[in-house]
Amino acid sequence: MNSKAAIFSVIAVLGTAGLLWIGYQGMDLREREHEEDEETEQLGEQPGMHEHDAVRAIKQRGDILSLDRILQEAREQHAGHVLESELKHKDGRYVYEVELVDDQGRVREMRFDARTGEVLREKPED
Amino acid sequence: MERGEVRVWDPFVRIFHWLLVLLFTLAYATGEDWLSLHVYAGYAVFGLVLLRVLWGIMGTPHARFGDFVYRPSRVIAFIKDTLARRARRYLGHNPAGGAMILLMLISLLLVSVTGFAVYGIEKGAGPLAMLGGSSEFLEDVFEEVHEFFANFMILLVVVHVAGVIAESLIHRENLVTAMVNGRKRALDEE
Repeated sequence: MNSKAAIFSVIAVLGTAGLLWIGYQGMDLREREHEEDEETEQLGEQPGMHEHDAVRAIKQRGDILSLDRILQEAREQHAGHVLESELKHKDGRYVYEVELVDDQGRVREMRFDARTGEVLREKPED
Repeated sequence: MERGEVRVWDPFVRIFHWLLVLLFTLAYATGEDWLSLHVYAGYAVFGLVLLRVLWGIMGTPHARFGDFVYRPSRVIAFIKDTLARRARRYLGHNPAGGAMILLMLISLLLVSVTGFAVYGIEKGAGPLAMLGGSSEFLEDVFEEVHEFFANFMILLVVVHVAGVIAESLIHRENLVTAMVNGRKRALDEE
């Protein structure tokens, strides 16, 4: 076998295997669900607190609106069906990301400021 | 090697091809939900494409750009001949196949680089971490381009597979096997 081809092949295989291994390692279970929750958790009152506890703690401090209010807002704007919602910490503030199917059957992604309920971004998902 | 067969695809070309199939499928399937695996599959795609470009310059004869990049007029003429079922057989990539490789390599570079950009802006991580905190508008633009070329790749894959099937039927050979064992029936046998 051509030795240059052998070297390229070995780099390709080992490189791919290595990168996929690192990528797989990076997917610890909690991260797999919500990448940003770790930050949310750190803001919880005690270390090791569960995500929803941390969210509740933030809510209790009056920092963010409840998900129910955001979902109500989302439904009012697009008489639709909510598929997925998530609280994220982004650019130094809390945002709710809501994915919904609107009344025309299109999937939309909306992002709300969790503190004020203001719509930060809205776009059709394709 | 059977009589009348010649080695056409070197091991790297074949390994590159099938690793790319694996990685692209993986990246397409994981998307935003399995982000870590998605991102690293993207790094691997980018690295493989760079290796392939280098190999296109210094690799074995049929792996080189000079062997499979034809003028657009030749590509069009070849496609017309194929539709008329009278295209000649090429040992390496035919003009349409060569054009497909170029399109795929370019699309893959664009998919991976815009992916790095989205990742950099959204998470402030990865090779384009310096883009972290850029405007949402910029993030949207990169995201749209990223998704567009990912879907464009699907289209290219469909056309590529159709081309492989068509060529295999016209010339009564199995091009998929050739991409596995690297061997093809020699030209002068016909």
